[in-house]
Amino acid sequence: MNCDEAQLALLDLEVNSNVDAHVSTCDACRQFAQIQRELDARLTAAIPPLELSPKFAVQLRPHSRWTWSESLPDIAHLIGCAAAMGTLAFVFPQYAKEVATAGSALTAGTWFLQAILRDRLEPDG
Amino acid sequence: MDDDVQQLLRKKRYNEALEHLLAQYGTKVFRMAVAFLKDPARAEEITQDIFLKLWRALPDYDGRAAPGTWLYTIARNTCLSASRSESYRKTFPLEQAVEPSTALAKSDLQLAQYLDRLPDIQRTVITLFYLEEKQVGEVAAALGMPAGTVKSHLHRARLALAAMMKE
Repeated sequence: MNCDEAQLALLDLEVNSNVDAHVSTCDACRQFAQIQRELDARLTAAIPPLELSPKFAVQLRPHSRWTWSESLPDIAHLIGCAAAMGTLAFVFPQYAKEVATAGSALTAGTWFLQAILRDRLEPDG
Repeated sequence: MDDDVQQLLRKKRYNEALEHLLAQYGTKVFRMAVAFLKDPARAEEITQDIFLKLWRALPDYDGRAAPGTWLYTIARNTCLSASRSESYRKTFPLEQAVEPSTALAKSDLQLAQYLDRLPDIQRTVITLFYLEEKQVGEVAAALGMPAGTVKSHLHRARLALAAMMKE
């Protein structure tokens, strides 16, 4: 094993008898190995494997669950529009067709506006 | 494990799929975020963001990539964008820059300063390597690069750090 091969193995943190044999006979590689081992020990001590805190999953779950209550504004909007259209059609039966057309268009338009507004108001993340 | 998640996604059982992904990749994604952002508390917030993004995107999963690979892509993009916005917010005059930002290595202030002097990719790779208990394969999967490239960045980082130690 030559110096290049030994130093490459040391950079890969390989431990084998060939590297040890070379390092024991070569001053340059011994110094190189000493510095790399010291560096590895310092990095290992300074960067311990971290784990997520136990509260992580608890905090995430409520956000990630879909609940029917999230659709409550849409449901209320549709019921409100349908009720208004029904009332108008009942009071002015002669304009029932116009009420249905205009009411549907208004429902769709306000649904989009509501979706845009909700998107803007929703906090990031 | 990824196969189980794919099956759950095909059956539209998104809650269970998320639970599986969280159990398998939660810590790995968190460690990636730590390597990018250097601050464990901020990294945990970003990990929340990543899993929420994933949750919202689960119905659009098309099965082309493994769920883990897909998650890592979302995680990398989120970490990169968070890291860019953090460095933008933290811009301050050079004379005030006395404290190293590598919060993880605060126990060894000198090493923290050395790590801060490395190019971003080398610092990220070497930090993640130690966070992932020295597994090159895990680092490669998380960063979406070949194992050989990870090794090459590790070699350069080690040589640079050794040179700084000798200064």
